[in-house]
Amino acid sequence: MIWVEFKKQWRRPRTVITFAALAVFSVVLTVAISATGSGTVERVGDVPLLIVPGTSGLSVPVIALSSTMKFFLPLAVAIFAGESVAGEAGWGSLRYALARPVSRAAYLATKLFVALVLSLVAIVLIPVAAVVAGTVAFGWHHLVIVNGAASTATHQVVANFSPGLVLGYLGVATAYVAAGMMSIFAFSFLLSTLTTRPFVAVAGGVSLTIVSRVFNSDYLPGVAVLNPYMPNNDVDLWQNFFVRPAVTSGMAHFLVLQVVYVVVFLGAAWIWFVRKDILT
Amino acid sequence: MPTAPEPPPVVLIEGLTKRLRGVLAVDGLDLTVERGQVVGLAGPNGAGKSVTLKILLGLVRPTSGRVELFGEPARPGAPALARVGALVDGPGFVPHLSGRVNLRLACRLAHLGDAELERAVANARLGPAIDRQYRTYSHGMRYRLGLAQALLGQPELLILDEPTTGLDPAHIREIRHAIADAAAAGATVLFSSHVLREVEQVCTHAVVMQQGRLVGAGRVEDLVHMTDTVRLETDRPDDAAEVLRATDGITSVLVDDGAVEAQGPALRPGDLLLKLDAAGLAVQGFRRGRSLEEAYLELVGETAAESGPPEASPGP
Repeated sequence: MIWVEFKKQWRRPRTVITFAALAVFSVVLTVAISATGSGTVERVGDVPLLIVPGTSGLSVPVIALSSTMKFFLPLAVAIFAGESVAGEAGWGSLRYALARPVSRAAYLATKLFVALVLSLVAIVLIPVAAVVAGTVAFGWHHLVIVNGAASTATHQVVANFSPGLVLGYLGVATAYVAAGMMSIFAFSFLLSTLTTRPFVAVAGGVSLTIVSRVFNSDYLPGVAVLNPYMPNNDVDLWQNFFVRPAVTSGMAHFLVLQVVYVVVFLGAAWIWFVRKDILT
Repeated sequence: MPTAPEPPPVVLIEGLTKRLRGVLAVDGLDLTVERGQVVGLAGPNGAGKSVTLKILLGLVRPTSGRVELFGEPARPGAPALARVGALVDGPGFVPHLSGRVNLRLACRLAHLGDAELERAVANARLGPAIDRQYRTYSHGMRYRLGLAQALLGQPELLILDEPTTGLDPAHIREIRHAIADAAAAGATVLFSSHVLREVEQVCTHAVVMQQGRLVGAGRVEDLVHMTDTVRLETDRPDDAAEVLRATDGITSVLVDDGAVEAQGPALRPGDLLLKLDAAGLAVQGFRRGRSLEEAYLELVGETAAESGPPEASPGP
């Protein structure tokens, strides 16, 4: 059943276009940096990290992951999760997939697994493509990052990372970002079992990302009390790996929060789907 | 010596009720389909035909009542569904894959081999188009593929919901032949249709539903009163009715739409013709039984047949 599901999904125009767009993004980013001057200082994240991209190709994945994790990646994840069951309903093939000796739970688990694999591939594609594109453009060198918060006009706080260490950090950062997408994924997947219109489920996942952004304490200090519970806001904490000394506070809280969201949304999806009347 | 147990009916429905959004879509339905029967399910829109078929397929949960397939409770994922082929609410396939790949995926899910796939491809009769993307198919081609999928693995029960909707006469004929072939090969068939002529031509039994309830069921022959009714066409229907009323063994005579319908338990059509001829009345048309359409309209009432409540299942 899993093989059949992959076969249905992996050559879908939507899947191909999403993967292509994510891979092309890193290339475009690299080309843009080269074109506008690889000596310009890029500010990444809230710290901020000040990076001169031209000094090392490994700056590109840091920039790419930072610039995609708050909208582009949630969108990609919402597409794969939201399309999953609703797409099948939209094709009219859901009733045939279920009018068979297969339990609803097994069917849902298959859908979930395949959507999850496609989402993870999408997330991993960004840093991998960026490492390749960046290295080709700017070489494989030590990455120098200036801590914009700790530095003053007269004194710069500079940290120097070996390529191996950057790759290690990027690996952990990607895993953290992937984990941080799971609330969006689970919410879109829940909507996917509720609607027969995939667009609704995808838009719902994106909306959750936007809601998360809206209740960000940076924009609305008054509602800062909600900030620690927003599903997507703390997805950027991995950037603190590149501060010396590295800071990891808040990351564990965020991961626990993701688990709670996932359990709630997927639990609701399961409870609903096994009882649902398939009328279309 | 123990006697062999009676095999359970293919479909057994007792006291089935389904409430959908506050409306009783199916209301205390009883229905039995025995092995080898070809049963047509007729009724106006919203009669609950489609919902009933979806309950059998485990897609919809009944509110109450007993529903069994081959003696097993019908529920989502019931093992008995392996013995059922279905075409409900039109075909549904993965649009960016070809007809052949779609059938291959269906074979794979049903654990069927290449021989069965080739049989299904031949069944679909799509020619080279079988390797084109499904999204490029016409309405008729989609139905062919849908029917080929329903027939995959030679199911013992074929459930078809409005299998001819929107098809041209040639395709309708194909579907009719496919149903007849499946029945000849031993399959039990349960299908719903608006087109009563189809039900009459193909089915051994018919069931008429209205507003979730069964209003008539039985052998098609009996429903159309094949044995006790004749319908005559003549240019002087009122005079003919006069003659027939005076004939022994006839209990009722109706003049309807220029035709005369005579009913009676001991009716002898040959004698009637001789009698009318003797009275100088030329009979231009003669048919035993009524059409199923007439029987149906009598069962559901003309107004209900024209304007039932909206179909319980939402449109696309």
